[in-house]
Amino acid sequence: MIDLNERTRRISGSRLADLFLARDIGSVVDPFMGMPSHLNYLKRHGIQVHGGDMVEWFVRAGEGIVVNDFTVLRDSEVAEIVEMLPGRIYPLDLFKGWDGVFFSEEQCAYLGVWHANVHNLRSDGQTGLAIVGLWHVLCYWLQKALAPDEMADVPPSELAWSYIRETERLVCTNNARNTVRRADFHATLGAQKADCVYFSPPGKNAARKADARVWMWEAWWQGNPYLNIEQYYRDTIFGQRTSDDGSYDRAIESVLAAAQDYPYVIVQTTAADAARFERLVAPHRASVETVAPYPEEVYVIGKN
Amino acid sequence: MPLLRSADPVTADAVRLLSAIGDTLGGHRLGFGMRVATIAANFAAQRGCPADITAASFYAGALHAIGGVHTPISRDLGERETAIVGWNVPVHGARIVAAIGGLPPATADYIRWHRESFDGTGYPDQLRWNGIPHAAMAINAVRAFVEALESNGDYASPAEALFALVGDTGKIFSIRIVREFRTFFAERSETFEAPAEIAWETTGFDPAAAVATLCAAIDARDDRTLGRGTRLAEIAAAMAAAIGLDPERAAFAARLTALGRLHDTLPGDDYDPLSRLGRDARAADARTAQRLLGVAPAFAEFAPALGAVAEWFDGSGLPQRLKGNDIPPLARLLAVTLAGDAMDLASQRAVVDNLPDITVRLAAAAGKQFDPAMVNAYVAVRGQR
Repeated sequence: MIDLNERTRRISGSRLADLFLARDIGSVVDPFMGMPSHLNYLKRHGIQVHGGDMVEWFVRAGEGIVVNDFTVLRDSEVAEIVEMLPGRIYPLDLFKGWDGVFFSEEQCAYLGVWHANVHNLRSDGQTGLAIVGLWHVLCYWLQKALAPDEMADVPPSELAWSYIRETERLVCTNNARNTVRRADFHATLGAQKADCVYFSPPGKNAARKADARVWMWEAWWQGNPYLNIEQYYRDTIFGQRTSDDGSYDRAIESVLAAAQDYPYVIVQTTAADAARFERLVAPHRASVETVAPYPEEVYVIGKN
Repeated sequence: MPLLRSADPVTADAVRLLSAIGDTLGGHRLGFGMRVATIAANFAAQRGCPADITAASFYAGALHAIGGVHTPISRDLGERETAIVGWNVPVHGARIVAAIGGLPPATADYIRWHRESFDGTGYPDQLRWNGIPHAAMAINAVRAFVEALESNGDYASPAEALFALVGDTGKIFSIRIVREFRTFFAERSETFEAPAEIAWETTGFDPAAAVATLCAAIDARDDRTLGRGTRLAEIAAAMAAAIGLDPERAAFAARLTALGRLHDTLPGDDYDPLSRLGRDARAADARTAQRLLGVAPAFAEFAPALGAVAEWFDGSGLPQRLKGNDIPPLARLLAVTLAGDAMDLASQRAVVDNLPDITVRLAAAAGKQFDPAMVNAYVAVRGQR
């Protein structure tokens, strides 16, 4: 049985917007953005946003809901994603490795069909929106595998349809150029100029503890059910040994050093780790302030 | 003399009034928010939550829709744009509650996140899974349950209304919260709406200031009414002092007139304030204010006056066709100040510059629409400004 008990960190765009508003911050870079819902919120409220991540589907999702200003998926286009198109040969066995382990045979076939259909989309924006919508389907299926009798049975194409259609509301413009890139934090921070660097640091050996709903979706996007996202981080500073405090602190310090030229740095952490991050931020910033609305939601804010 | 009667019941009444404003903005019948609050608090107590979480659940349930006051009135938005504007309601609500102060600390954030969905498709932040505070999701579950209960015959009984939650398990609601709510309902099917016990001292909560703040926010939704409450309050206080009424009460009542302007469209402002054509619309505004004040006994003493601001001194006004001194003095005072402010605004926006002087027009309506004594007081106060 798959374990979905991950403690999800609360990344709240509206809270960040409140922090930015109080400090007159108009643009932000998040080098570890993950699923960029928070960047979408900030964009919707007029803040220029840039993001980076090593996991490709996060970046693709960002192209749909962060970079994309206008393109939506209309009904006919959604229909071409969620169903098998006549005359096309589909890789129905592509995700057979998951059959009987995580999903049913029918679900695995649909994953293969969707993989092919989404890869055939011509617009980056539409591809991103489709990835976001279909990801919710994967999450729903995994959740339902844990509690089959308590969640409604919804036909795969109907479920996919409803989730993809919902992505339309995420498309907006802020009259600014927003970017996402698949890159390590050095490249992301070096490529942009902004008022603030915000990041929620990856945990120790985060790649090994990635939630199934994250790594499985990357595996789906890459068309390889056996993919291990740990390999993405192998050559990065967070991919090396960070299980001991010293190496982890050095990894965080290298991010803070790379963010040195940005007027603000905001590190999201928890009450348990707040003192550690205050200590790490202090040498890099003239003043350090801590905002702690919740024990599990603490912001260490450094200012030049 | 204190503006309002004793302390704690006034706080409860202020919350009740703010909740009623949220009900009106959310398109629910009055009492919806308080019903959500009661059940949410009982549900929290059933789950074994500490007193501050239970209290926060109560206040967040009562005020969950209050952020609607910051939604600007716009006549040009399509369905999608209207929905997008609506996503900001929880955040505005959180900011309002944080600004008011005195309520349990978690209240603002429960309001902020009470419309998040377990699957990450909610708003405003698209939080997902256990990133959503459990109590915030509980409030959403209770809100959906009460909405189902109050739907027009879709569900025949509270037990059937549970299906509104069950159908969204794994989507809007987590499996855990639905299980807990079913247990709660099974164990308290007869008493799930029993009065909740809230062990929380609201320190620093100024009921009158909170209500006045909300009234100002209502006026700020439309540039025609922006700042109206403040202007009315200043003139009403000066007039009251001149004619021997309590200036503080007159100023507060003037601010409360904003309650009548809660509608998305402002029909009361579409007509000349001295025109008989606008009587129905002005009376509807007055009734709205009176109805809202009726839910909060501490503020109910203002209800008769607020409900009579559209009456005419000669008895030809609405809604009750009261005549002369049968109209409460505060209502006669407010009627003149409201008309004066509306005419001021109209003259500022007029494209022609030969409009008659406001005091001349008001004087012409004295004895018919307005109490002559009030008109004289208004003219005198206006002359001093």
